Amino acid sequence: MKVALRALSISLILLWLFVSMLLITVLYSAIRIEIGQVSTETEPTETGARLIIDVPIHNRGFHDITDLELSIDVVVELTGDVIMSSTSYVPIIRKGEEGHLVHVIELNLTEIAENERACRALVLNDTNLIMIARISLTYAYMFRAEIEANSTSPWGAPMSGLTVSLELPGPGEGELVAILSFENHASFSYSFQLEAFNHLGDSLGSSGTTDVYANSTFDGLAISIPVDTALWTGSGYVLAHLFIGSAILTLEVARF
Amino acid sequence: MTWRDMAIATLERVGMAAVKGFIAFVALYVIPMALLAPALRGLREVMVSGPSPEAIITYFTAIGVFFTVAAELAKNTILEHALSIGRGLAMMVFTIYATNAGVFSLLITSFGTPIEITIDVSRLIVVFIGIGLLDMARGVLKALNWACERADREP
Repeated sequence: MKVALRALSISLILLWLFVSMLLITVLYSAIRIEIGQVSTETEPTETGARLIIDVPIHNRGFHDITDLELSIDVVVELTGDVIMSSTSYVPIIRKGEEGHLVHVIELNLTEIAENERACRALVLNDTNLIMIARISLTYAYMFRAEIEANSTSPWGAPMSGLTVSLELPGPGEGELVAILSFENHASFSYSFQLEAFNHLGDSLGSSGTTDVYANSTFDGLAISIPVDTALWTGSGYVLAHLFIGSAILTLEVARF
Repeated sequence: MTWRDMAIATLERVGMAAVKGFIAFVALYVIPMALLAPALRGLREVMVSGPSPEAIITYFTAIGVFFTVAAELAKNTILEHALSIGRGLAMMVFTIYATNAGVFSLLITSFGTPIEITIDVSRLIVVFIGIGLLDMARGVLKALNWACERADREP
């Protein structure tokens, strides 16, 4: 019995020593992790832009960093839609080594255009864009840490406060007139075109292109859309096509 | 042993238990609360989950003082060993409670941006529980050893 007791006591002392050493080395190592000079690079793409962030991490501690993951989501505050999501992952940065967390954020307007609700909210309403950045890692194969930060930036709508009234073509007339009032609260310029459809979805005709400069205001802007009288059914809708760079955003602006 | 001797021995034991309990209270509650009050207040403001730091110290003190006094009162009896095992069990449950099962969440604000930090040390808590169980096993063996030795001594 006494031998077993002594063996158990020695094992317990050794276990406590081991755990204490682990904790001390983990704390010491954690403060020796260095994050180097972060480099960023922006490059234009066909449908938006790409931001490449390179974060060098020097692991000067005694333990490995595993499952290092960085994710960034951009959410439209008004609708809660995620319009941009990016994730990067580094499986392991061994002790004493340097690793690079390369994160690519791609702003793709075509992808945003596919989300009709978010696209409509962004074009017509001033709102906030919430960027949620999350970084997580496992240290010494034992401790999991996660840091999450949110930042909010205002979004100015390209067609803020849009009101549209339509003057429908009379008998024998081939022109639909849309009277638009809106303000461009966005920091960029764009152009747009209106296209009328009948209730069957057939295109009746399109207007010419109108240029809209940053921070410009339109009050009672009349845009005429020549319509194909053969397809005229008396009811339908009007779409606005916004040309931003090489991307096109389309949304319904009026019904008749 | 006369009734008088027994009364004196009991009073001595109760007195010693009271002194040890008081020292434990001062060491575990009064000094940490006095020295760490501003840090505890700051910590409470940023903690998202789990019990408040004050509650942790209060419960830890309650466990510490109770087992110090009880162990002194039950000295040289089988209860001393039973209390040792009970203390191990209580500390295990307390560790799980105080550490929120090993998951800490803090919410700090830097330059107006809220930053939530979550640290998961549940694997370490499992190691602590394992060591606690071994300690309890040692307590059981000690109790058995004590009972055997006592049986050998008695005629």
